[in-house]
Amino acid sequence: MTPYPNVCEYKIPVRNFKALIGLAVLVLILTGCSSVVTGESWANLSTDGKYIYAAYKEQVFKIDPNPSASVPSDRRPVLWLKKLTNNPHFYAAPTVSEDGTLYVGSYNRAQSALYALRAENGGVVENWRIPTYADKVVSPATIAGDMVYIGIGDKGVRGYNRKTGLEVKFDGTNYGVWAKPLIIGETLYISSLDHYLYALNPTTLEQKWKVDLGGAAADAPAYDGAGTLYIGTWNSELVAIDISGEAGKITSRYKTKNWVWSSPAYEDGALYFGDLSGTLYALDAKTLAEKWTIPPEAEVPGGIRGRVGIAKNITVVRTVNGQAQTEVIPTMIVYGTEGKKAYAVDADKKPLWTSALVMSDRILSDILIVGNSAVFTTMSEDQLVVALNLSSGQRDWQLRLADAQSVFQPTSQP
Amino acid sequence: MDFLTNPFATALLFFYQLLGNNVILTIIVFTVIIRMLVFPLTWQQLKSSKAMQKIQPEMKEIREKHKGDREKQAAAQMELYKKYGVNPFAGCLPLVVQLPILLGLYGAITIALAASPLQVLDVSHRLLVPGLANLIPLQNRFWIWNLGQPDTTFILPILVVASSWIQQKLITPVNPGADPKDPSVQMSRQMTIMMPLMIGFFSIQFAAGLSIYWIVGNIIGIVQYALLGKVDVRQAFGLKKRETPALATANGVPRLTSETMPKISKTGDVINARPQREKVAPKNGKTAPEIEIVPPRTVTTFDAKPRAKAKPRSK
Repeated sequence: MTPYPNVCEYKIPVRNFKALIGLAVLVLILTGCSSVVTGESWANLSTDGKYIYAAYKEQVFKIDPNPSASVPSDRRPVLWLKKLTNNPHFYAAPTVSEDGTLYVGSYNRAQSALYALRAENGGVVENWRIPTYADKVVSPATIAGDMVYIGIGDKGVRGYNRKTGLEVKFDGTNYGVWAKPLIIGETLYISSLDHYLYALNPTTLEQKWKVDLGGAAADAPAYDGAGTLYIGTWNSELVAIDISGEAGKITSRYKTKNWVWSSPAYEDGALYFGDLSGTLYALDAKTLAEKWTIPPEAEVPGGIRGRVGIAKNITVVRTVNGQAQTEVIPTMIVYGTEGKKAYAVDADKKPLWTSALVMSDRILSDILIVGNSAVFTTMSEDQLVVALNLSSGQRDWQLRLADAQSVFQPTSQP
Repeated sequence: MDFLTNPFATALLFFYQLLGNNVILTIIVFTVIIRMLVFPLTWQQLKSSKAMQKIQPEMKEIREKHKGDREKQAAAQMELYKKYGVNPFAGCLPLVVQLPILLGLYGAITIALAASPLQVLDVSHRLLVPGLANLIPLQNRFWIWNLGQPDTTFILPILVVASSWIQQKLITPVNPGADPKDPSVQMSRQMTIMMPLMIGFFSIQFAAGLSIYWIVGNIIGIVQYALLGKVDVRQAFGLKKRETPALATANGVPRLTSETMPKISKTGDVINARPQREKVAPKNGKTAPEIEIVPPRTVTTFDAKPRAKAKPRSK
């Protein structure tokens, strides 16, 4: 019997090699058609009232929202931009403490950490021991005195002493915590993806009680200041929880059309929020009775993922019977959608303006009210940060990532 | 592919709920079900492949006969296909139909294992049954793995490569009589090596749950072929059949060797079989003498009686 020849003895004929390459390309293309989502994120913003801080991919940067002679009028100066080491990937918005320290956790599965930078210049905080067990952080940090708390993307919550680095932890959740921890009085509240709202002791992170919301909660609850929390869930509900007693108790629920990702904004006894169907809701905070809803725009449908922005006493110019009239709007609600548009309405559902420019990509971030602008991010790096004038809905300024990166060189790495 | 991916993702979540929120079991059961549903197509493909293999010797003859003349070669091949009722493209059509279904399943598993916020947002737009939203996110943890993330231990990718290679070897064995220089034989061997490696490379990049899907799919493929009696492990892995040793000869006379000599145990039992007698061709017109070998009697106790002597046959 002829033995099997060793395949390695044979050189690959050219046409077979080409066929193999073609097959490899075909497999790559077909694999690309299988809806694999890569590890992208949207940029998230926060403000200390004066400046805007953004975290995007592996970068953290600071923006001055005031016009400057150093940049064109439709841009704003980036005061510093820092690219962080260990290939972090930021989903969380930065949090700035009163003493000027910026904290942001990263999502990178291999080298996640909670970074601490000086808000003034982006410099690394000396002697900050980067916690190595902060895995897949999506939640923004919460700062309370000497402690900083973050939710962990896989499971639980961590608290770190900002001076000593001492860690306390709570691993009682079954899934991750994406929501920002909320401190009210002597209790730390955590919304978890495992459908529960937890109440913890902020010093030891011992559990006080928990309540089943019926669906995953990805955002921190809103508080009305009178003992009630409001949380949206992926079970298409808004839930009201009374926390005035020894344990939390769900008092009412409101059914929405689709997932509620972000918690509502509470203003003057009303709750304003959107869901992933693109519907904007206004509810009475005490009873959760519906005041009004605004359906998504038919031409550009898209969900509302982020928190709405509430602006007070904004002067708008309206055209009534062909005549321009100014009007002061006591409460303006601004929201952005996956349909790439931003909208403004008043508390009585009257539309005020729609963003004049359709954005390059989806608006997934929260709406930040800074001065007379509504600031948000899009999924496009050419319109990474956009500010719309609250009075007119016109674009005040926008920031391209490339502009920020070209102006500032990365400073020394931590 | 959303027309397939979205229903599959929804069905996957339904099974997840049914199977006690167990992701591994869900992936396994769902993969089994889908592969069973496309089995008729797989069977069609297999039949076509076997038919093509059967006519390979005649194809080779045609190639040699009409070497250099492609037109005559093609005409003769067509005649051969007609003669045996074989459609060379019959194996492609089932594959073309299967591929989107399997890609849809692959995409559905990827979507269902959403781990990051952007991935979960994508899931929210794909569920056809809103009531399943309370299952999100799935419990992705299994032993040391997060099934929504690539496997950093490389255990699953290695299993993917191994199972893919074994499946390839079993379902496309090389015909022992095939010419190793035949381009189709070479191509087959290269595919056996390249495809598993490529799939293994992809499995390193993607969520670990997809590796589970690949491994299960490969095992199902092997089992399907085995149940159909189409698996020949020896032929697939080039294992030679065990041959009995030939009798040594001296001057044409069969002679017992140490391998063929009957062996007796301490209790008197015969251990090996009766030695084979090989007929020897006569030399110079003379017939080789035949020796009758009489095995010893089987006894259970030691027998002091002498053995019967071998009697040569009379000529």
